[in-house]
Amino acid sequence: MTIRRQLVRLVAASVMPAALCTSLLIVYGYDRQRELVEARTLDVARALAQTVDRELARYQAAMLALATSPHLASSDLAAFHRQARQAMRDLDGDVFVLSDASGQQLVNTQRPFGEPLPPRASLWQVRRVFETGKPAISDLFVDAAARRPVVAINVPVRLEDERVAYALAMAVFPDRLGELLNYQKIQPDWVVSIFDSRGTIVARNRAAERFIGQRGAPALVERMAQVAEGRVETHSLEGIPVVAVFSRSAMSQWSVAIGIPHSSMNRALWKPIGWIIGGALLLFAAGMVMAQRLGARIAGSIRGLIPPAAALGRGDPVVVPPLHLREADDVGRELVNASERLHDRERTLALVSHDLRSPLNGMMMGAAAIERLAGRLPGGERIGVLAASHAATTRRMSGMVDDLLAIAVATSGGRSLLKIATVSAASLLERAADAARPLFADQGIELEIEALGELPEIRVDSDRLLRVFANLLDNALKFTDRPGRVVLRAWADSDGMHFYVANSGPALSAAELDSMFKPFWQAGQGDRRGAGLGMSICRSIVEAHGGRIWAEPDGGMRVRIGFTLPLAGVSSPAGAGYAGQL
Amino acid sequence: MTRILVADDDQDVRVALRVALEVEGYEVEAVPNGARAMQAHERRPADVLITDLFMPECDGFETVKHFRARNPGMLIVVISGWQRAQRADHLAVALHAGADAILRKPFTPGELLDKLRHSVLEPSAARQEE
Repeated sequence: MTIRRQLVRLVAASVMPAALCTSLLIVYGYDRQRELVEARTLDVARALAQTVDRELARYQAAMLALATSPHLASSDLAAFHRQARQAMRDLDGDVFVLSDASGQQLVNTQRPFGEPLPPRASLWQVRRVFETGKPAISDLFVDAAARRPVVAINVPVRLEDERVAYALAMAVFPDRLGELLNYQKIQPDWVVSIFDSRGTIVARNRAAERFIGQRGAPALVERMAQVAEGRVETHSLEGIPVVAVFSRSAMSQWSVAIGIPHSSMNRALWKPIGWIIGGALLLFAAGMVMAQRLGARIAGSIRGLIPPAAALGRGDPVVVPPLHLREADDVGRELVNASERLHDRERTLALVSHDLRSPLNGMMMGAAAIERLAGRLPGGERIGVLAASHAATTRRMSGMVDDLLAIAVATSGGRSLLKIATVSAASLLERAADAARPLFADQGIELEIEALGELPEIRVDSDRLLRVFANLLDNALKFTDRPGRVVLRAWADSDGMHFYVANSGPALSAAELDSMFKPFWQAGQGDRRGAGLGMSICRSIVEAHGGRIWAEPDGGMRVRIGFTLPLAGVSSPAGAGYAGQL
Repeated sequence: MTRILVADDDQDVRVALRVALEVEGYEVEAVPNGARAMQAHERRPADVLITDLFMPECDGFETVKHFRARNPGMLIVVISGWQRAQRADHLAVALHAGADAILRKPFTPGELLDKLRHSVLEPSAARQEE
């Protein structure tokens, strides 16, 4: 997981509650906005319903006024005909019809007075006026004479004795009501209809000729029958999905319904919400971009620590460039400090190993001299044996000093202290064998040296590699019982230069083979011959050469330690000059 | 008898070397630094100089240069505790200054005697035969 991605996640996590809140607000806002739009539309529907009512009331009032005409009281129908025609012109109406209780037309403003007239087609309206004695507005019906849809407003005509003598009717054609729909607050894409009490379309702002006289959308009609005002999701008669809001007039029981197409509704709703969402997304994106940039910068600073850390690992001088991040700079400073301390320690190790060599040399020379002198003394054999053992001990100590130096090699990542030169693998093998032979001879253990085929020249630090051979052979010697044998074998192939050292004895367990190269590994519990660093030092040296060392079982042998060195050799490292600065 | 001068600031090394070489039949004089080696050589010339590199008062490099300049035929062996990897340059300088051989500490008496026998014993043996 990179820092950049972590930061992006952090920003996302910080933004998440806000984003959730915003989402809820947007949903809430959407609902509120929708309610608002619907409420506003309902206001318009209500206003339109009132306008329709007002218009009908205006007609009704004019007719009631006309019904009090003295010509009716005096039964002067010819005079009433004239008066009604005048009133019709004033009222901008269509036609007045006066009929008696049987429905027989007595006066029709569209006909000359005296012409024989048929009975009224909608007799039931006449009857109702006579029965109730109250004005009545009809639903839309098709007028038989005019053969077109029409609405009739009927008022009773009472004479002095309060008896209903006539029914006065006025026909209102739908186009007259349709003019009411040229109301400025109506949006161009709305579908506005005026319905009569049965749900028949009386007027419509769109395709009026096609839909007048038809029933409205079933869902709307059903809902309008239930409540005076409301909303319903439906389709317009043209098939457009709409939200329809409606308001029913108390007087006429007519309703005005406004269908807002979903597209129009969404436009109205998403415009403000779109701004909110757009703004939020923009801010979110800006946050992400900033997080990315910051992440890149922090990652860059931390990545800047990799080369110094790698240099520390290799034992090269550590240089930390300014990283522009205080924490990274702090780490960088500590890396430099660690590098200096490490170099101090290597220096100390090198100095100590040097200083130990002189006294060791003195001891070795002294022991050798004692051995020689003791040989000349009568009974001096025992002194000679002691002196020889003293010399051997000194040699072991000298080996430990070499180990100490090898650790310095290992801790500095190996290469800086390696002194690489081209040597023949055969001569290296020879030198290793020469150094070991006397010890093996002393112990009476057989040492078999075997070079398979011709051995190439290799680029290695011979001293360090001799140390590897010495450690491996010494180890093998230590853990081989008499009579026993140790085999040192070498061969080369395209993979590299291969060596192995195997010794006879009971086979080691897999677990022992595994842990063999860990520091402080000891073959036997409680065996304190050496510090247990030998094998781990071997590994350090081999790996510093770019090679590999491992332990494996070998049939009939205790263990076989193999190691491989690359044939290309180890290039002389840049840090090699470091040793010269001591 | 072959006379050997040993210059080393470590007294134990001086004593051990002197005894070990005397046991082998050499005449040995051991001194703590180069300056004293020069005095000893003036007093009584030696055939072989065995010197450490780092000593107070006239170190091994100067000592080698000094002896080589005045004694072209002398065998000069440098002994040093520095491993080749650590002080390759110094050992190279020592060889350049005129040392015949380098022995790294700790060395066995056998190794030292080998150097002496290979390089000097023939001439000195010849001298003894004369």
